[in-house]
Amino acid sequence: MGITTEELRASRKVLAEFDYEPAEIEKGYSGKSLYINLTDLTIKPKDITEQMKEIFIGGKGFGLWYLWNAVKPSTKWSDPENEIVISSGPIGGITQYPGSGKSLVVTLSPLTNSVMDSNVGGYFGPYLKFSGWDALEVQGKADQDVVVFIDGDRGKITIEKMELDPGASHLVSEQLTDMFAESEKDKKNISIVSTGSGADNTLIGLLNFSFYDLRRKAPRLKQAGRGGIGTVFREKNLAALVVRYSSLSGRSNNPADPSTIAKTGVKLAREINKFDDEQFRMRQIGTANLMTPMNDYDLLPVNNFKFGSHEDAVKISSDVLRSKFTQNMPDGCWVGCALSCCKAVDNFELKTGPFKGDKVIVDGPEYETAAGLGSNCGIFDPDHIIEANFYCDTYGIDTISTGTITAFAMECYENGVINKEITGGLELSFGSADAAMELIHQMGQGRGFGKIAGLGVRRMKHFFVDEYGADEAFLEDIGMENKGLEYSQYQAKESLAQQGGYAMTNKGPQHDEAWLIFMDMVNKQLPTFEKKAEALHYFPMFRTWFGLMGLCKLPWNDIIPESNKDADRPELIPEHVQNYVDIFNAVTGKQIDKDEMIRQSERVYNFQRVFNLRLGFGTREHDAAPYRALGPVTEEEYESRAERYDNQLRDDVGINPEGMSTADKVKKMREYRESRYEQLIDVVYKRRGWTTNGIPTIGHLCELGIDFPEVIETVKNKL
Amino acid sequence: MVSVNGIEIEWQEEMTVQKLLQIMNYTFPMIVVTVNGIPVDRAQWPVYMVPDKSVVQAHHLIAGG
Ligand code: SF4
Repeated sequence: MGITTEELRASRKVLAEFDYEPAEIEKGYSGKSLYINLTDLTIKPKDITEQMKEIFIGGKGFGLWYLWNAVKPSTKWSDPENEIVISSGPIGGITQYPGSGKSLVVTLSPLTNSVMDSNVGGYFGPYLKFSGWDALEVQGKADQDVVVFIDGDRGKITIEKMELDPGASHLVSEQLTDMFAESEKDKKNISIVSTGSGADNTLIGLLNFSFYDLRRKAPRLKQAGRGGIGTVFREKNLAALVVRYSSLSGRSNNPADPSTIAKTGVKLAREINKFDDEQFRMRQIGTANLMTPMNDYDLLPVNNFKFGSHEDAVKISSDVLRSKFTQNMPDGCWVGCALSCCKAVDNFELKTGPFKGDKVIVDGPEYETAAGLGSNCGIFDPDHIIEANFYCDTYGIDTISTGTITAFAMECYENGVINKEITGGLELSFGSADAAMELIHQMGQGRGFGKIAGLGVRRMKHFFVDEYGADEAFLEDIGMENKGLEYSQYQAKESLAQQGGYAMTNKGPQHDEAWLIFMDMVNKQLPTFEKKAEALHYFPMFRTWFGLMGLCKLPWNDIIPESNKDADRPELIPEHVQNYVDIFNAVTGKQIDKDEMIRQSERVYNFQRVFNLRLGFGTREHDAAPYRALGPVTEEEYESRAERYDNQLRDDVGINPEGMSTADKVKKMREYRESRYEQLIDVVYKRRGWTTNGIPTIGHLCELGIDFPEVIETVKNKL
Repeated sequence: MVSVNGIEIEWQEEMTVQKLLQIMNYTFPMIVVTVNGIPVDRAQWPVYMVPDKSVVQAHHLIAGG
């Protein structure tokens, strides 16, 4: 394992330090944020203003506001002025209500060149706050690899250099936990943010946030995966962020009304105990519980999103993955999460790569990882998925993007767009597990074809067209990216609402804004454009709220309360929405209701849209979707579900498919689906208070109270 | 015929809610069923007969992946 803890400790050299008196937490806020500039090694506190709390709330809201003030319209992701901002939120860090320990990370993305946000578990965000900082801004670029250590116990911050190899995140987390903890018992008080060599070598770098697993006696890693945040981290020559805080208690967040929080938390924990085993089995399987139903409902991406199911999917079913988890106790990514969906495979012996033969702990695989690295690449081998999951995490590359990139490369390979000569010998056909694994190593290590794949689908498309004369239109159709970000792993062809839920997003096609497939495609609850638009307003606003608070989405609707069967709108899970309102009020002492909750999100959501505009994006053209996300691109896809599509032509389009060639049917279907998508955009924009070009109107911004001069100026210039 | 979430399927003799969900391949763990507007408890699915021409709603309770 290279350097020992003692050697690492001996190599430490403090480059800058800052002593402070940790601010008392008052109703969920410390009232201070920490600013670090790696270029000139500045470390300084900033005040969190009342206006920030009122308008931006916390978490992603704070991240957006700080980033807005840090960058110019011309700033690129790799410029020193770009920032990485980490903030939890006012609810973040409470231990009584499940799912309350998330951190939100905001930066300019190397994939989209616009604003990226990612929601991640692990202990860093709460420990940061309890160390006195509601947010951390990191700007500038160090001239050598540095570690930032925030010692919340002593009130001391240091920027240090040390003999740390930042190439493998699992080792970095272990080494730094060992070194910064003052005893074995103290390890649980440490959280590390790190990445791996893949973040140096690709644009899809992620950040791993650790929490120390007392039973396994090892740090576990949770990922801020999307959009290349880890790539920005390494561009700044950050090797790691470390926080230490040892006084965690149920009162650390100092809420206004602890008893309401306790009561509400106990109620949810009881529900989880009572119903989880018969509902989603989050405690047993975690999000991998979705593998089987997604396949059953034709929603599991297969072969670069061509299909939604596969007969071999049974080999990577929810229960098969469950049998791989070596888990016998609930396991949460933050203290007090009774839903405890974290899963791990212990003593997994690696068969490939630099750690071949090592027995390691693998976090996950989560649904997205299993679908992305598995079925979407035509690979139905659980051990491959687990090994690929491990390497993506330790190299610091996003499993979702990796899956979608590999699947795209495979389809290009099968269509002769690229060949063995171009891939350096990799036979990248669907189902080629060895080639897919080797591609991960190449991306992680910056070798061979991995250097091209690591650029992401958008740049790969351009590269294949420019260098190899590929058919641009075909690549635009099958390259599953929007805004430069790779699609996450759901087949959305049969849900128009979800097509919007993916492509009409602020950051790109991640399903954390809206997941409407069942409501739309299965339950048929959204039969009109207006109903779809209402859902595409409500859910993105509602779900944005989690990211303002430091909350996890899963305890909202991955456990269903008994009251839901009598609810008017069961899909909203009204009892849980009320829990959130109650908890927010109990933490902050404010008095909001569920409508104000949506307004809080709407402010930040629209601000993010304006931020995109300011950076040259955020208009209608950027909400276009690749046709693979809307319908069957190829005759093969059409034929695979010919009865369904023929019926749709007959019933929905009003065309008799009899006697038509498949090519003609594909064409007619495409015209119909593309026009429906355009109609949907019109109605959604209207519902969101935007122009037909997707720009928030001045009136809407005034109504929301985010009519700051620079916001209005930005919008005026685009109208 | 029986309408399930707006999809018309052939009615069969002895068609229970459970059988109907199997035909639809509705395997999701959280489904709330109504037959002609009447809620049918999960425990009743194996025995509750779906009459011909029924309108069945099998409401899948998930709003988020
Ligand atoms: S539900 Fe899972 S991801 Fe969410 S906070 Fe709990 S353990 Fe973490």
